[in-house]
Parts: sequence; C-alpha cells; structure tokens
Amino acid sequence: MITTNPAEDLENEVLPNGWTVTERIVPRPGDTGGNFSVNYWAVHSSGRRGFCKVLNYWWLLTSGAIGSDPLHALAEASRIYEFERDLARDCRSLSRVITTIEDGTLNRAGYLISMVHYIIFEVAEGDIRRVMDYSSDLDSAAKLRIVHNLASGLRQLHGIEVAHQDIKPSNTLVFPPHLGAERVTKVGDLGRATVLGRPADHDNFDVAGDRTYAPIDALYGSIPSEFAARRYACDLYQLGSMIAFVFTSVPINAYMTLELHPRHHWDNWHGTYQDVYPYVLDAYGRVLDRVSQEVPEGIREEITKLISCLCHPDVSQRGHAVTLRRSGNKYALDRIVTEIDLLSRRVRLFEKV
Amino acid sequence: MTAIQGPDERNLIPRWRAFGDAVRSGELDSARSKRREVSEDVGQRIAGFEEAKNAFIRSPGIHSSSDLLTQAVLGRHHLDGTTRTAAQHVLEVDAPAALKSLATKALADDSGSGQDENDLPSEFNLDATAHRIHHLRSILRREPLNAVRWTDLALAQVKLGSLVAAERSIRAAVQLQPNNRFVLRSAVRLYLLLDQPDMAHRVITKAPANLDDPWLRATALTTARISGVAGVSVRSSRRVLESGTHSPWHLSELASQVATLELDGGNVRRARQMMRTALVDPTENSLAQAEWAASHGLSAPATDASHRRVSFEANAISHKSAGRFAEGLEACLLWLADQPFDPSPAIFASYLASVGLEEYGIAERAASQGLIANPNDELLRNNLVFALANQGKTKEAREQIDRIIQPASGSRESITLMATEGLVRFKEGDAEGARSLYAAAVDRLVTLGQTDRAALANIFWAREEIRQGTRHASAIATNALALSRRASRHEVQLWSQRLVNDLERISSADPARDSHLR
Repeated sequence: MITTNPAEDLENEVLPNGWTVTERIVPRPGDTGGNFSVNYWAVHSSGRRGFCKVLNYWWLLTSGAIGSDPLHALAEASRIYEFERDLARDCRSLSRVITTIEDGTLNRAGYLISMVHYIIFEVAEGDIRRVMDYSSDLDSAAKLRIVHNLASGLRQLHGIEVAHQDIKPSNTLVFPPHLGAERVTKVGDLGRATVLGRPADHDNFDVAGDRTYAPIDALYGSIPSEFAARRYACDLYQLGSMIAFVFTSVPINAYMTLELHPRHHWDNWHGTYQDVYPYVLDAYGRVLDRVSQEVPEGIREEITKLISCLCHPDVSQRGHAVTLRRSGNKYALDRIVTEIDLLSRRVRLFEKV
Repeated sequence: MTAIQGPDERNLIPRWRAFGDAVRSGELDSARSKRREVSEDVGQRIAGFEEAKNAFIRSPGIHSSSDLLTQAVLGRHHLDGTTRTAAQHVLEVDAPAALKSLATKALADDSGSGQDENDLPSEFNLDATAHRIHHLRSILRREPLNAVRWTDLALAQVKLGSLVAAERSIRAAVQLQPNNRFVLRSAVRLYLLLDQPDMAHRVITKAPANLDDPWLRATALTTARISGVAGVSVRSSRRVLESGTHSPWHLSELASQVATLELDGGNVRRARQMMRTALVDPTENSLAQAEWAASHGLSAPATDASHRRVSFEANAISHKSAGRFAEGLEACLLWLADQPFDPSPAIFASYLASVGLEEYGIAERAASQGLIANPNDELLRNNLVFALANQGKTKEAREQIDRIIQPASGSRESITLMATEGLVRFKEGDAEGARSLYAAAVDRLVTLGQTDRAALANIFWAREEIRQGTRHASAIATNALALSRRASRHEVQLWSQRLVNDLERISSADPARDSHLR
C-alpha cells in the first residue's frame, strides 16, 4: 500500500534494540487515542511482545485537531508526545504501573514528514473486567492482591508527584502469573495524568479523566484549588471505587446513582455542592450499607471501611483516618496499602487453614 | 361539644415530612435556575462507552456488563443493542442485587418510565414508627454525622410524643448542617410545636446567608411574625420575588407569606398580587394558605398549575365549607397522615367525623393520634371526650376530661369545654348539672355573637334532653331550632335537621310523649 503517512506504514519495520513492528492494530470505534496515534504489535528478538504506539503527525497536521496553523500543530503535537514519553520514562522504575520498554525516533526517507516517534509498552493479559469474569481462581485473597497492586501503583505514581485521575476497569491491567509468581495488576494509561509542575492540556478540565468514574464532588462542580485535594484525592476516590468493583462488581458512582434521588443527582442539581452535600452523605451511607452486604463476611468490615474512607464525598475527609490527622500529605496512600497488604496476608493464611 | 380552631390566623409554617417524602414533594430541589457546567473532554466519555461496549462484545460477563451499564447510565447514552444485551444478561444470571438494579435502571431510563411521585401518605402507625426509630438509631450509630437521619429521627420521635428526645435530635442535626433547608425547616416546625417561636426564629436567622434561599426566607418571615420580632424585611423579600432568579415553584411559599403580611398591614391590593404570584406554581402549603386567605376576603384566582398538586388541607377546608363532610374527612385524614404530629388536622378530622358524619370512632382515633404529640392541647382532648361520650364510653370520657388543664375563663376553649362537660354529665346521669353547664355555654356564645357554635351547643343539649325524655326538652329544642335559623354553617343546618327528625320520630312513636315535649 502506498501511503504519504509513515506512521501508517510501519509493519515489518525493524526498530533499534531488537524490536520489530509486526501487525497494525485496527482501532475499533471508541478505542481511546483515536487517530492521534497509530498502534501496532511489536515483538522483541527475545520473544517478548510489546504494544507500539506511534504518534500520527500527518493526521494531526491535516485534521485540524490542534489548530489550523501547521507549525503550531507540529509544536503542540511534539509537546504532547514529549509529555507522554517523559511521563512514561519517569514511571519506568515503577513496578505497579504499565511502563515503557522503549521509546525512540525513526527517520523514514521519502515521506513528506519523515519523523516517526514511537513508544513501546509492555503488554498485559487483559484488563480487570476480563480477569474477574473469566478466572476461576479468584478468591478473596487473590482479589485483595489485585487491589493491593492497584493501590501500590497509585502510591508509586504519587511518589513521583503524578496523579493518574482516570482509574477505571479498562485502565486496571492484569499480567498473568509468571515463573511461579502470582498474577500482577498494574495501573495503565497515563493519558489523563497530571504531573506536579508540568502542565498538560487536560489539566484545565474540571474532570480530567472519564467522567463516569470521577469523584462525586467534581461531578457537582466542586473543584478544589489545591493540587493534592484536586488530583491525589481523585485517585483515592477511584481506588475506593475499584475496590467496590472488584468485590461487588459495581463501582461507587453506579451505587450513588441508585441511591441518590434523581432530583439530587449531579446531572440534575443546580445548586452548590455544599447545598446538596447532606443528601449525598445520606445516600453514601446507604451505598456503604449495600456494598457491605455484597462483600464476603470475613472481610466485610475491613473492605467497607476502606471504601468508606477512600470514597468519602467530602474531599477533606477522604483518606486514611490516621493520615488525615497527621501533618504532611493528607492523601498519602502508605497506610491504605499497608492495611490492604495485612488484610490480604491474613485472608491467605485463613484460606490455607 | 366538639370544635375546630378559629380561622383567625394562618402562617406558612413549613410542613415536616420524612426526608424521602420531602424530596418527592420537590421542596428540597435546588432553588438556583442555572447549573454550573462541569467541563470535561466529552470525547473521553464517548470513547469510554464505546470501549466498554467492545470489551463486553469481546468478553461478555458480569464485570464487563457492569462497566458498560455504568457507562451507559451515568453517561446518559442511548441504549443500543449491545448495552441492552448486557442489561438482560445481568438480569438473567446470578448477579449482585445492586448490579441487577443498575440493569433495571438502564432499561427503565431508556424506556422513559419514571418513579411515581404522587404516593399518598400512609396512615400513622405506632409500631411502625417505633421500629423506624430503632432503625434510624442503628444508622446513626454508623453515621453520626448524617444530619438528614438525625432530622428524620426527630420527626419519628415527635410522632411518638417524645418531644425532649426529638429536640435533642434536631439540635444535633442543626449543629451538623446549620444552613440546610431540610434541617432548618424541620427544626423550625419542631420549635413551633414546642411553643418556642423565638428559638425557631433564631435557628433560621443565625446565618444571614440562609435568607438567600427563598424557602428559608419564607420560613424566617413566618417565625418573625409568630414570635413578633423584626429582622426579616418584607421589602427585601419583595425584591427577591421580583428578581427573576428563582422559578415560581421556589418562590411560592415566600410570596404566600408576604401576601399574608401585606394582608396584616391592610394592603389588600398588594396581598392579592403576591398571592397570585404564589399560585403560579404553588406548593400544597401555599394552596392551603390561599384557601385560608380566600375565607378572609383575599381571593386570588388559582392558575391551572395549582391543579397539579394536591393540598389535603386546602381540600379539607374547601369540602367542609361546602358541606361535603365525607370528602372533607377523607382529605383531612390524609392531611393528618401527612402531618401526624400537627394538632390542626387532628382537631379538624375529629370535628368533621363527629359533627359532619357522626363517625365517633374515627373522631376518637384522630383526636387520640393528635394528642400523642400534643398532650396538653385542650381542644384535642375536648374532641376526644366528645367522641367517647357519644359512643357511650362515659368512664373514659370522664377520665379524659379530668386531665384537661382548665383554659382561661371566658376563652373559646373554656366555653367549648363547658358544653362538653355538660354532655358527659348527661351521660353520667347528672341532668341538673349538665343543664346548667349547657345553658351557661350557650348564653356565653350568644353573648359573644358566635351564633353557629351557640346553635350547635344548643342542639346537642336538646338531643340529650330528648333522649332522656325530660320536660325541658321541648323548650330547649325550640330554642335550638330558632338559633340555628340564624346560623350559616352547613353542619348547623345538618344538625338542626337531625333535631327535627328526632322530634318527628318521637312524635310518631309516642304522641303522648310528644305532647309532653311540646
């Protein structure tokens, strides 16, 4: 096929460091990223598979997606690519975050735009939805390990001053058991992340990530001005929501929609968050009650308590009770991670017995 | 003699309903007309939905269904075949209850079927209320910061007559949410029930910002009027009404109370204009206020919108005024079910049941219910005594009448009570004592120019004389019929006819006795 766009013409291309681009992944409607990037499978000479994301300069220039000025569009595209690349590099040492294996630039002679930027990511078995639906060995201990991995991933991100802001089932990726080690869960897709001191386009949105999973206060338009309360607290909320999803198969905002009267639902409320807060808090109480009924008895209290503190509708009350009382980062996840770890060990021991 | 309260004064005292009922009534909607749009990358939301659909198609299961249904319901996406399949899948398999509810909601939202917002209030039930208190306490042990449930607990406690406990509960709620409409209007209702209008006013005006809310401003005007304090200006309230920042529904009670205050000040033209504003999209309380105002010469045409809501109180008043006692009682019992702690519907219902329909059992139940939260209400207890005495429960009637704290001599209540005591004395066999009490009551009512009440008391007296076959019966009956000819209320005409029927029955059954009566 003859093409003017090198990003669409990389099948069988041999990249530096032993990688070969293999098959192009045809995007389905709704696959995130759209035409902004062209995606391929890649394989390393060692046999390892990778997910290769190539920045689609040609589309950016011709679609008008980032303005009609080609020079500006190019500069903007480069800035977005560099943001993602640098963030991916920053995360390379994080064990519970999807990391890049490789990034680089190719020069393809004979094209109008010869430059090709690419990033190769590690490949997961699938996301948590598939694993939860199709794995027969997911007891409470295994679920707790998934949740523990996810919390650890977020703690690692927060440790390098990155807030993810888009934790949801499709971004919770699972790697198969390997060499006797158990299955590992990692945080994926940093496309909506915010790095402290490094502005990104999506930072200006009230809701940076997928609105469906956004913290409830943000859905009512209550947006804290302070970085930690706005960004880290969002991750805490979404972590709590994922815990609910793992143990009850329903995320918190879905529960809230069921429990809030439609007149008080964020889609219909015209007032301030402060005005609706007592009603949200009341609905939240019922949500926790419902959640606890779905969680296995042996860990019911602990799981409900975790969700309760992570998804608290008052952002100033969100987080571990002890951490909230101490000075420093109110949204630090250390105690949450430790609690989940201890709980998972206790359950494992119990299940073995 | 049974009685209703004088219609001299009515204020827009907020209704107090359990949270769920209050929400359904619409009184807890946001009063702001414009919403703050939450900015987002819309493409992200659409992509999320499409991705969830792909994931479900690739690997259908509980969790992929849940993600897809969450995206569909929360993102307000139109349900396509895939999402519908996911919803049906969830409903068919062994899925958690919450997920099944989500699937049901997705299908219902799509078909446009909504909730029924017009449930009638259920009848008050002591055991159910006690159970509710237990349930609310267990919730509050888990959620001590839940002001909504503290308020609901206070309401349940009031219904059971535990007024001290209710005051403690409402104080906790106010402390937690000192600016919340539901909490503050409930608190005001309680303090007014406790006869603490100053406290009611303090609670609502403590934060000046509360007056920005038209519902709270209306309540503050009411508490100011009742407690006789200044501080909430009618002029600034008029400005709020004219500002155009709130919908007619949110302004209804404020306009209604301003109309009442304008009426106080003798400004009928402005009062009428305000009442018209109140009736554009009225609350049921505003409708009741309009019904009351109409009986005070302030007729304001109700708009079509008024028919969308039902005011049990307004219906009760209007049916009673038209002499439709059965319909009036039905509306009144619904009003009582809606506000079971309020003495007004209990008094009204017991009156209508006794006087309008001779349904003394219903009257007894209504009065007894009202007395739970209002044990010192002498009018309510009077009506209970009347209902008991007319059912032949003379001993219970005597026990109840002895519990009444004597109202001030010469007051409306004291005269009513005198007549009721007369009835009980007749039932106890003390005709002489009964006669002197009835005579004194009728005399005083005539002197006060209360012809309707005088006529009623006289008719009740005459019936007892006839029942006992006394030599006074004829003269008293004649006097009662003469008085009733000057009366205007439907119930007096009804009773006067009953008296005539009694006389005729006796006449046909025993002409000798009739001549004696004559």
